Amino acid sequence: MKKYLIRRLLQLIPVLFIITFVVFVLVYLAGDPVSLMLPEDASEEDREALREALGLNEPFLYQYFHFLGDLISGDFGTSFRYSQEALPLVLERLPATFELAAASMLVAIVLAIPLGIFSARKRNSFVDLFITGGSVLGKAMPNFWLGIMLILMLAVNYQIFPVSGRGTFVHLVLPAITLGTGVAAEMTRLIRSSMLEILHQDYIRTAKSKGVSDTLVIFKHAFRNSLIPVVTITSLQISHLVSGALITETVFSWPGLGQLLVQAVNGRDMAVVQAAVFVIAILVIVINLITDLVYRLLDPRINYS
Amino acid sequence: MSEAETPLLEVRNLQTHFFTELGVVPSVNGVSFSVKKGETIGIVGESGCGKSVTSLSLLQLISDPGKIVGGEILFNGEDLTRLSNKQMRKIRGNKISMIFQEPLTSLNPVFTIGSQISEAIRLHQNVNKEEAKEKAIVMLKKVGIPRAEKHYYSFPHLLSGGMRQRVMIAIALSCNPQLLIADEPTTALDVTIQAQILLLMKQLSTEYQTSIIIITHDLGLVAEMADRVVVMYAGQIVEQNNVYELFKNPKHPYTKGLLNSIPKIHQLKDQLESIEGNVPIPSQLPAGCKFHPRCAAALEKCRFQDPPLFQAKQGAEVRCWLHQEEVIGV
Amino acid sequence: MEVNIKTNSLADANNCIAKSKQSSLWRWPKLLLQSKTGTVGFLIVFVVVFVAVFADSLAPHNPAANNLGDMLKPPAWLDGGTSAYLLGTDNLGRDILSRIILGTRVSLLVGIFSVVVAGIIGILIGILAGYYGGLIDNILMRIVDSFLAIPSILFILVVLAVFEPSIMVLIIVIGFTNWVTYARVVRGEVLSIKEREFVKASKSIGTRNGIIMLKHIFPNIISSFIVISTLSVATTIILEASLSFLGLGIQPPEISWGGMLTDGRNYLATNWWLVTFPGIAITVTVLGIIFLGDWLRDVLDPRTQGRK
Repeated sequence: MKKYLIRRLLQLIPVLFIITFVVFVLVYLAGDPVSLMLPEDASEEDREALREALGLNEPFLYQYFHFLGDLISGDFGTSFRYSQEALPLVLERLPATFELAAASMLVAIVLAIPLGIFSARKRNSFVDLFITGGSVLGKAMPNFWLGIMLILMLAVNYQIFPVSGRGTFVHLVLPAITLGTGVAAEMTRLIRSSMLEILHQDYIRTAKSKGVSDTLVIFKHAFRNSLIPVVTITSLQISHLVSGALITETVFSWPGLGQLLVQAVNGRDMAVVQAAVFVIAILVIVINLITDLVYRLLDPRINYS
Repeated sequence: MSEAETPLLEVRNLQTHFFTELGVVPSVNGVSFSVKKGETIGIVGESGCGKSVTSLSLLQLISDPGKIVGGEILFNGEDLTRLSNKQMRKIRGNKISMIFQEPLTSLNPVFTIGSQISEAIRLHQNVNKEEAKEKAIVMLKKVGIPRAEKHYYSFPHLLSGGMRQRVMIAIALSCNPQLLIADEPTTALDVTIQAQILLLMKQLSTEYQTSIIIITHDLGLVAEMADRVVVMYAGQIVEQNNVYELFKNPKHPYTKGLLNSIPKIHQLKDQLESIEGNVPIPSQLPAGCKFHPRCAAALEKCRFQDPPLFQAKQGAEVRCWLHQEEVIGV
Repeated sequence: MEVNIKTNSLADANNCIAKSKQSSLWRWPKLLLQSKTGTVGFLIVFVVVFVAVFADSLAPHNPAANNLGDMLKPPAWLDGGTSAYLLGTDNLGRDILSRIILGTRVSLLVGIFSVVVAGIIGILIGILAGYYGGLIDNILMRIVDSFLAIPSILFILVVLAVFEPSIMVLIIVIGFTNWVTYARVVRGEVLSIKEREFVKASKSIGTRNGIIMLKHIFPNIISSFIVISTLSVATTIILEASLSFLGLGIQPPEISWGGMLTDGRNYLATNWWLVTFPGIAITVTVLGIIFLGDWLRDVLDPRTQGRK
């Protein structure tokens, strides 16, 4: 177990290396940041002095390792827009994003598990058709459009929920539904198909032959097994959640990391873009590591060698 | 047969059909047999003859699109086909339990073997968790699992196929059932392990006075285990007799064919005999006797008229026009 | 049918491919009609492609023409709507229907060509990694894993922060971030194909590696490529719309469905049709592609059969 963890952590090194490299190359290619940082009428000497101070005249690889050194010490540079250190700026947005992500996952799980199981049990029935149809529709509908439509119906036409912002529980409802249903659509499909496969397994027949009730067969014997493939695919769900969060936060003016990142990209605020991308990337990696461990807990057949 | 006791299990004209998109498939078509207390009967036939469906029907474990469409299954005089789902659950694993062919896949991979045995015990006996665990460990010892206390907490994948089948037997016998149905219990195992498992089943059935229905295509196994043999072909019983007579005087051409295809040690032959042709697909059964296309002794009559079960010599019941003596059933 | 007979085994392989090509011509329409969703998907995709190709002639108005006299007209069936503007007009009096019709072009262009870019890179790398194995495979797959560990949207955002977004940039950046999926699937397929008899036979008679990859391996991975790429077009269309909606994708005056939604959002409270119809256009298009893709998967990928 310990060995496995260490190996997994070591495997992250090339991943982090590639991310930092790609980001650095892109920023390098973007060209001279000096023109953005100084007033238009600055003299050529001033520019040159700033370049020298920023280390922009050094060779490419030297600059890259310098950049890596800064990253490790948490120095991503200063935001043009907020005139603040980029990293704290990013970190202070995290709670809002966590809140939204947690609420959305809750919505997704509450929707997907019962729907997936139900539609597998009533396979090919009208209800199954309705649920699978709904999940395909959920996949086809862009997240942000669903959000806009929810605002149109529930915040504008019937003023049940606020249009945007964060604060009370009611603020959370529409964003969480928007983001959650997208994830739920994929999850429902997965749970349904893995349930269908598992219900035909020999050990389900064994459980029935022991006299286990149908409900227990489903929720104890089948469900636990069906979670294994569902957890495996979680990394894909995480990608979905991240891109969904960017958009949902923007649609609902939710003051999270996603909104900050989109604004930074729009404003070419590179320090913030880099800091946000790294923080998100590391979060995703950590979440993937955790799901991997959960997967191993769920499936005793896997050993850590 | 001389005693007038009521049999433990009496199956009368059981019919289980599968309603597929391609039409109705009569997998079991009018099967009748009975099992007395303490008796072991063997149901023999090639794959696809309906023997597994018969066994699953007894426990009402036929899943969609299959359905029991006719007949009675009298267990201690009670018709199981009329029981509610809830009543049936009290019988499964308790009065009648079952062992399956695939020990490797028949245990749930995410639960310890101990918990899978305790589950059966707690479902049917009024015991708490600790008592169930004790009983489960006793069962594990009984079926010959070494270091039972430790293996109680093992997951199935850590055990070999033979060990897993022992666990299945422990689950099946944990509630001291009156009838044990074993569907090809040793097919997936090595020959040496097969012998051990069979011996175990035999010992335990004597100890607990459990009746056994053993389903197999292996006549050697039947000769060793069964008191009586039922031979099935295309969803019907074609011959039924006690094990000595059946092996000594097989009546039905199909039974003869099956017996001829067993290798015999003192009859050196270059080639084993086999029965020509294949088992017909249940949805495309031939007219007349279901076996006539493969039967060397087929008469003209066999092509048009389905024979009933006849009472033949030496106590046999045979579904063949060649043994037309006394009609005993359809 | 040109069959180049070298050895029996090779001829078999070629025959196999040729045969399936020949019979499939007649098989396809039949198979398609057997599946309701497949048929619906095909029809939707057909219509969308048709609209994209003939967008200029189909659009009833000039989609870019401001007509301040006809600002924010509701759809034709509502009070105040006119039959001239079937789906109403936007804040600059532009015809929404015409803009949706023109918008199909951007969606399909980005959707299809980014998949082509991703496919070319992914297939190439997948075949190389799978066929040669060893160190090449190890390095390439480490890179693939690294890309898969991070949501591709992050790479895309960094690129869009650096480069001015345009159709070309979108196609390239989406293509470059999505190749990993193809590389992984293709590699897996190649690993099993290269163990097949016809490849071994071909190797044994000294056929060059390049020829083997082109003639024997490539044709056998096409079907799985078609399956993933169809579904990938669907997700890319949503991605492009999302990016354009965020202002990071297609920039005005270029017409895109996502951009129409950005414009319409400010009129949400008063003029619902501005945001409703482009969204329906996206959803229906994507739905059609998903249906078609699911059908293709059922038909082309034997492993999924019976698992529905």
